[in-house]
Amino acid sequence: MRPILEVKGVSKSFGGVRALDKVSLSIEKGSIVGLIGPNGSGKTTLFNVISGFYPPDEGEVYFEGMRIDGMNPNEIFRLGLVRSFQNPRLFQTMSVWENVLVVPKQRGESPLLAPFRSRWEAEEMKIGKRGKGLIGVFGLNGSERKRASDLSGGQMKLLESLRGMMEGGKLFLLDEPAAGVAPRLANEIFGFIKRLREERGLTFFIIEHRLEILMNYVDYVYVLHNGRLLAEGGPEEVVKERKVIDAYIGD
Amino acid sequence: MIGFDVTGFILSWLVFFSIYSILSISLNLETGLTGMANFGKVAFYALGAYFTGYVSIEFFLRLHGLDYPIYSTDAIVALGKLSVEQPSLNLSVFLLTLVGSFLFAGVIGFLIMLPALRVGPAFFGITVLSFGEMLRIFLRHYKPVGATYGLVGIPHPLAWVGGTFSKDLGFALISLSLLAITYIYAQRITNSPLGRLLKAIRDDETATLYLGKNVPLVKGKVLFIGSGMAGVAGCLYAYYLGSITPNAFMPAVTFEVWAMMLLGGVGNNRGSILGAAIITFLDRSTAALNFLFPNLIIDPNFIRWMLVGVIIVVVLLFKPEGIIKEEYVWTPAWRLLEAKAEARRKAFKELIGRLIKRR
Amino acid sequence: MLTPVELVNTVWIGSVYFISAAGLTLSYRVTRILNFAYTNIITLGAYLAVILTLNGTGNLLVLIPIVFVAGSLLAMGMHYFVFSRLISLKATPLMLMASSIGIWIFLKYVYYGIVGYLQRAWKVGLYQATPNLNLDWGLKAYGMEFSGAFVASIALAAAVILSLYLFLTKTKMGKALRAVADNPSLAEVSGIPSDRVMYVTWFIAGGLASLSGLMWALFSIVTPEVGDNLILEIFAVSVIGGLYSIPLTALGAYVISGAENLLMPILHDTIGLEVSFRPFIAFFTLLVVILIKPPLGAAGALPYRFRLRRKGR
Repeated sequence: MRPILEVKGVSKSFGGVRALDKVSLSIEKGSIVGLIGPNGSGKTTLFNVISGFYPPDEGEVYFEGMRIDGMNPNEIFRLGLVRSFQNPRLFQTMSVWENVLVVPKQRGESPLLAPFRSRWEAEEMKIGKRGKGLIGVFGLNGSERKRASDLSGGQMKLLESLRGMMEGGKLFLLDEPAAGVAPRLANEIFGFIKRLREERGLTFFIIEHRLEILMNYVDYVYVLHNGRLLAEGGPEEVVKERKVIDAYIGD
Repeated sequence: MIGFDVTGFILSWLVFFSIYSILSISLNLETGLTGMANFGKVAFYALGAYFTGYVSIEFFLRLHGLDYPIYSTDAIVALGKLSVEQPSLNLSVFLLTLVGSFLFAGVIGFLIMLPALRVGPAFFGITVLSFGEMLRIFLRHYKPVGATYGLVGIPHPLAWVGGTFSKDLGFALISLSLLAITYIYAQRITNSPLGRLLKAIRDDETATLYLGKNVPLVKGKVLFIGSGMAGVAGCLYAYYLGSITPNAFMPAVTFEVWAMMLLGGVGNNRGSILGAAIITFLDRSTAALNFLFPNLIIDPNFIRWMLVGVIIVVVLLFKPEGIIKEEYVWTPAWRLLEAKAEARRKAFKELIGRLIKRR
Repeated sequence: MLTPVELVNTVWIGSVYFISAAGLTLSYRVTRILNFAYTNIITLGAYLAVILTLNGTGNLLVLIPIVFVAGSLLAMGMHYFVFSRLISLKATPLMLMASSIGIWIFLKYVYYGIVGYLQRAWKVGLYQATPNLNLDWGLKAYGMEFSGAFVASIALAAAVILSLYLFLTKTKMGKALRAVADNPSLAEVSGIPSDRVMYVTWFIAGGLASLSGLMWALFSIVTPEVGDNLILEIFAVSVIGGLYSIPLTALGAYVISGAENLLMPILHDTIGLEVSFRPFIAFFTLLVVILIKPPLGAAGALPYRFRLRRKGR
């Protein structure tokens, strides 16, 4: 079977600095894959390229066999590739409930239909029911009416992932899903990710700094250093590799 | 002292209130809800007014086979005579220009979107601000629309009505009903999935893009609607005054509308109307001041604009949310959160249904 | 036909644009506030030149520091009374911009009020005025005679740019300023006092704006809207510089000035374009630059570029 995500020889430079240099990797469906590397090694840039924020200078990106480099982020999302950000990007002035409801595309978003409630009410209710269910899964019950900016850091991370799941996400690019969270809670979040993988067959591609936590949950790890793929393999093999240790210590 | 015409004051205030409310609702749609810094509102207002003025004058003159140049004395005299002859012509030209100015201003607003696709809010603001100024300079030097003199003798849709009072009252009612339509439309949009999407774009454009929304297209649609509304306001303005000059469309007008939106409360249609009511009232009062005390040290017009600046800064500093606070987008899905209330509502509905059937 | 006058004007006005755009770029880069009230500072500089030289002949060397400090104080005042407070209230860039517009419109009509009052009180024409400076001398070179005002303006511009360059590259404060401009959050972490940097920035930017107003007063007539009439050109110049590079800003300044002073007469003679359409040059330049190469990260904007066409496939 073809991997769900394939990156082939992607390079990206910013004003002469090569942020990514011929990076190639592939991710199997239903796996949890880690992406590690010292600061400034190009991890977030890689996510930005995959998710369509920048087009790559060269190379190709395939998602479920479809070429996606050069597409806009919104089109890539519609295919089922969802990404989260290092700092949760919620809609701060809106309630948790609205943050959830806003995701699916619906008829009521057209300026011509929006004034006529009867034309979109049924669809809206269906979305609402799905949202209510997911809110239960993510344990955010009872805070639907809160402003998103009033949530705790961990809840914000959860809400962001929830938003991504509202509309058929298949592959999740998570940028430090447990950053700034106590180790116990971080383990909870990763346990949750693992559960989602098992229950729903989702695929995760995760950037994380804390290797000691990450290594317990991933199937496979890629190591980036100075924009290049330094090493790859199962978590145990990778941490033992000499060049990986050098790269981290040299940082 | 000359007697002060209270009824006239109120009627003219009502018209200006409607015009500016439409403007501030449209600005609120673009800026308050969608987060696009429209510093060029006045341009679309001017486009609506000039479209109305030009088309209606041309229509009246050419339909009667007169080929006077548009700003000649002959034309103005002829227009004065023609406008009282056929009520049906007046009204149909009014409707035509109303729709026309909506579409005309709306389409140009949509096209101004092109640069907005590429740059962020600040440069979008500069671009439309300068677009407004360019338009004014253009109108000031473009002979076919009267250059500096502007357009004079725009036939009033109710010119055939005898008596100033009933004419003014009629026009005030037309303006108010247009305001009502605008308000209802804006209010319904705000409390719909579209309103939610717009607020999402305002809060975080990138995140919205990452949630699969075609942000530039949505913005373009909003600019079409917002600019079209401004065009309608311009249409009303042109008919009400009967003459328009390029200098009526200074950038300061845009910021007066901004002051209304900020004062009333950003992201809030009721607030926009309240802000418009307060500031147009102050505005008309300074005009009255001018009339009552002709020898003030400072020109009352200057006071009016200074006040606009002060209101913007003071509101931002001390009451950033405005008089009326923004609320959550209310859609039927909120009912899902009140499962008990919903169940009760359902049971009640069924009960009523059964009662009706039994009859 | 082209005459030396037009060449001289190109250099002259280009320098005015350059000085003011340099200040705008600097202040935007460091503070991330796009200050529309910047134009008021230009007007202030121009009017101070007029008002301070009303009684007798003024001395340019005395005028320069006064004008500079007045502009600095106005800019720092804006920051103290409005921007710094809004920043501590966590206002969005949009709201900061709106507040600068509020200041702009307020000050503009305050100027109108004051000028109108002074005109009546002193019984001199002030709505359209020129400063009364002792610059009757001229300089002969290359077979042309340059007016004293022109020479003084160019010398002033050169001195300003040289000192700005030295300040930014040689002093500790200047280096801190550049650090903040390049990466505000990083600068904060490394312990650069960002508040003081802000005030220093406004001090310099306000001074530059005010001096460019003075230079304009040497060139042409001063009205209460003189700054507003320059704003479009200044923004266009800054955008050509990408709101980033001072050398590119200089290039932009002379290109726009050249287009206005050299190209415009040619267009007037050949296709009969009216001279009053002059501002369109700056506007179209602005539009074209924004369309082709928008400044990155412009005031809270996104670095993303929405692509209309898909690549590949």
